[in-house]
Amino acid sequence: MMSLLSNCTSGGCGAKIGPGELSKVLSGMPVFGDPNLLVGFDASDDAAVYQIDSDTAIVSTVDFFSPMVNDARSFGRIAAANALSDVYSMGGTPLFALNLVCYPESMELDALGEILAGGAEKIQEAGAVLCGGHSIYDKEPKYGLAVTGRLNPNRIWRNNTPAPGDQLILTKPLGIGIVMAALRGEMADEQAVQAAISSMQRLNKYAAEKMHSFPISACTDITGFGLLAHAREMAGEATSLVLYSSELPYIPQAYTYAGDYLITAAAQRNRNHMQGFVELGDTPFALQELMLDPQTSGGLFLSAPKSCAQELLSAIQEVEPQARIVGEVLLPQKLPILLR
Amino acid sequence: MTNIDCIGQVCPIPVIRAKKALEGMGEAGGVVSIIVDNDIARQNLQKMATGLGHQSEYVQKEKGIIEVTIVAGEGCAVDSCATGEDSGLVVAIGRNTMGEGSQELGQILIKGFIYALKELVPPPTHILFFNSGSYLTSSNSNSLEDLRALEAAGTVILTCGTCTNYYEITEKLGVGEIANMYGIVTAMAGAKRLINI
Amino acid sequence: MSYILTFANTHAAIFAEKALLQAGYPVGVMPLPSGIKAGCGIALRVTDHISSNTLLKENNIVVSAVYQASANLQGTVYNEVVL
Repeated sequence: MMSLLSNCTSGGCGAKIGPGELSKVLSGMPVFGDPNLLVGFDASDDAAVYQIDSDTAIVSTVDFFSPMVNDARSFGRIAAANALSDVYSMGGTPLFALNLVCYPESMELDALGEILAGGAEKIQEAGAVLCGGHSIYDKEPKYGLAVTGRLNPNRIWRNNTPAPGDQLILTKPLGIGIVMAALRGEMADEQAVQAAISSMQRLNKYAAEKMHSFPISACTDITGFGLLAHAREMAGEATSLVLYSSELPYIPQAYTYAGDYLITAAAQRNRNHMQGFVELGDTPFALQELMLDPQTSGGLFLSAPKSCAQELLSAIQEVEPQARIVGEVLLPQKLPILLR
Repeated sequence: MTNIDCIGQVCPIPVIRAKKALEGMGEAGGVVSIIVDNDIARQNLQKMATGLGHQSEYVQKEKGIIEVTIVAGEGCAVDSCATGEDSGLVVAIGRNTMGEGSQELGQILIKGFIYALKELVPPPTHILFFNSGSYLTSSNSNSLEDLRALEAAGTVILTCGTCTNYYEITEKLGVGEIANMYGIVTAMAGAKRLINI
Repeated sequence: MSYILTFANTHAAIFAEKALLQAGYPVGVMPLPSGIKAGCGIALRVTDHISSNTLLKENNIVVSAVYQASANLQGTVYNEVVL
């Protein structure tokens, strides 16, 4: 069977158009002024939120990419989990999803069947329904979902509203992009790849469910732009975030691979984009790379009051054992992101 | 001088190939020239070269091609990548007790053992359960939380289907998957290191 | 489960786990963490240390000490809890 990866360039969230290039393009777009649009793309939040009535809002998001793993079923699961994640990170519940498929004419259809089966598994696990989709021929396979969910408009978890004094929690380990790069270079350890796949396939549903009983001031999910870019988005204009580099959870082998320069092009783009917003200082090179590493179907990055952060962490750790408190929120400092 | 053509190749391939060439030069040093088709690859190559203590420079050629030259000085031998010395561990648990003697002591010991496995970095590649060990992956096992954490960290957890069938607990599998003897043998034979409980 | 119960000897630990399981309390087994001293090398993790301790007292099982585990910048820290 032809390998899924054979005609793919950089799959997964490593394929995202760089944040700098993207914002240049988006800055020229017209501004839409509908008061029901509670969250649009002006604040680069995870998904769009549109109010229907006083206690219902719709969340809408779309995500798709080309394969980063050879197993078709895993790829389907990962792409679906990745798309569903944005609904969870806004505090919403997925309702239904539509498939987005690109597939080479020359490739066997069995693999496509497996991809779609993987996606359907995750949609079902999320308690949502699959209700159709769209597919076209393309020289490279791609898969993802357009997801619609519901949200209480009074309980939106925005991504740039942390409060000074809050602590920051990251629910999944970093290093996904690095491990996938090592896999492309045929230098990845089997266990590291399993750890990465296991993380990418996991829905953020379970962590989000734990979070609903706590006051969450801000939440986002980590994507191909890497932890630092999302931290900067979260800091916004009104706060600075401190990250404790020694507290970051990561796949252990990824640290070694990063030190051996088994890194991605996307990480370098992310690094360029972060110039001037963070002082990397004498943070070890491998940790810097982990913080810039593009994540696919990454974990939730959230801020919560210090008074309940430890209890919230323990609750999350029941479903995400590698979750950690990775930093805190301060009043604005010289730079939006500080590393300690 | 070694010339490497990385046109059309995606990171980390150019860096890996350049690094291999530098390692091949050993103590004598030398020059490696790599051509790439995007500036990000150029940045990553220079990042690697600087990190390893080498000089590097680049020239923009036509049609977006960039030629990066890395000079490895004498005595600048490059260490090859650390191989995964500490992974490839497979743990085979053939009973729900650890050691021989007291049954109840053995039962509590194996639970502590599974907890301690969870703290290993990196975690085992596989944990295999068979005979009375299959009780440990069943829905009423007190080690489920720890085994699920291991699964989340990437450990593959397999329980022998013949055994779950014998004990009539197949439907109650609480973590990982059912495997047959071939799956179990393959995991054991491919292990770098095997722990047998 | 962030409370740790320690025991003077292994028999106590074994009886304690049995009693808690029989009563339906969530309990996990772990090797005694290196930061804590106790007679027995097996410790139990529980969610509710107060009701767990009460149940064990009713069963005449002696708990040596109770600790609360919390993750901080240096790793997990165990602080003794006085009942």
